Amino acid sequence: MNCEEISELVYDYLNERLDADCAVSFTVHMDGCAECREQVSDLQHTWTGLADLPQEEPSSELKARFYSMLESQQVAAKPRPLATWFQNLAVFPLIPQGLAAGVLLFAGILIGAQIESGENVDELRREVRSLSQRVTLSLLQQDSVSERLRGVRFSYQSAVYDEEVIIALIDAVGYDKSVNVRLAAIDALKPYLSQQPVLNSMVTFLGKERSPLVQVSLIDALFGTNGGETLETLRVMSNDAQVIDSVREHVRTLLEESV
Amino acid sequence: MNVTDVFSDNELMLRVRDGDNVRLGMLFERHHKKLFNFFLHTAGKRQVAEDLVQEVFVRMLKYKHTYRGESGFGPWMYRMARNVRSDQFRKRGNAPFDSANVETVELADERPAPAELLETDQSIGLLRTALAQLPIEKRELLIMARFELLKQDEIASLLDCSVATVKVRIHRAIKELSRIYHQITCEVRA
Repeated sequence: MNCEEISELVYDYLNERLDADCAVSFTVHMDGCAECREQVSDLQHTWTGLADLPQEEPSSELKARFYSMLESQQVAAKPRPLATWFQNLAVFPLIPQGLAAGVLLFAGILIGAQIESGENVDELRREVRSLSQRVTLSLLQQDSVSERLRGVRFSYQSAVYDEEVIIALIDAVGYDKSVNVRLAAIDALKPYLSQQPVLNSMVTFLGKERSPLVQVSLIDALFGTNGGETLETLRVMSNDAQVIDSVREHVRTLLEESV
Repeated sequence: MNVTDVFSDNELMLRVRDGDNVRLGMLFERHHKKLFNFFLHTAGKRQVAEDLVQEVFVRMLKYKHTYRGESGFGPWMYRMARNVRSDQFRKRGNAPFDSANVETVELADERPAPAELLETDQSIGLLRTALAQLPIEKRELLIMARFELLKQDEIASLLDCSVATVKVRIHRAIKELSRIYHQITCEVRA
């Protein structure tokens, strides 16, 4: 390998993506070439320094502005049947009054039929659901633990499978700093464990969780699901020296009972 | 399996395109901080960076029908981000953020430097200054690569070149940054 080839491979080297053969040739050349060694060392220093640049946080105003924009877009996108109807009427200013009255009567019947068919009620339900979803998601992102717990409680208001709320709850189980929030989120997700993505995420988190309380809660929630991956994770836990004795014992008892 | 794999960016954006605008909220949650930092390093001011992030998401809704998902969500979003930034500079009659207005970099932790700055803090400060002096194309390339905003093949798609070319360009950008950094370091210590 010569100096030019080294310079072509530097980027992969800095990212530790050189394959084994290249890595050997790279190192051999570096050992014998002071110029390349110095240059690569400089680049490595800069590259490492870049990773240390702290990531800045935007202000909370950005989030508020975004959701306000999203909401106004949704309102604007909604069809406004009544306004459109009046606009259409204005196109025909010479319609005799009797005919206009007839049209009005017909429109009334149509609107009545629509209400009877439940479309408006469904629309209202959808709006309430969307509002409760936004409140839940917003609460789950608050800094205060009690607010996030309120968010988890609020999620129970969603009677149907709401993907965004479910993902926010999964995030809470996996990444929330508070044990209490993680425990509450596990409880809230129990009805959805039949959904494969939810189940898979919980199993993954069980392998990573370090709080014994949360471990036991996850184990109890997952045990009833009887998935192959769940059982495998539990078996690994039952022999994992890093898991505290009481949790290991709990897992073993459950596994023995299941046999 | 990772939580973020449950619904990919691509799936979410396809739903937005098909009228489910609420999904844009999830994409915002995933990407607004990275976009903010991208703009902070390439547009300079916090307020400007926030305005630009907002504008990117406004345009996502406006041009959602153009989303095909072929080259992925990331390149599409950053292509839009670069356009938004160019339009902003054109509208305001400003040159892109460069060495001429390096002093305008406005970071949250900016404060009067204490005399006894830790060496690492000082290095970070000098590196920021060096980065700001890099031409904008090289700076954004380094930010995208180092902060892992996009993968190499996605950067290649965004810049419409091969992955090998991306590697070469990044190598050149690191080299130049390294040179500027050394120059500044020598000036400070002299």
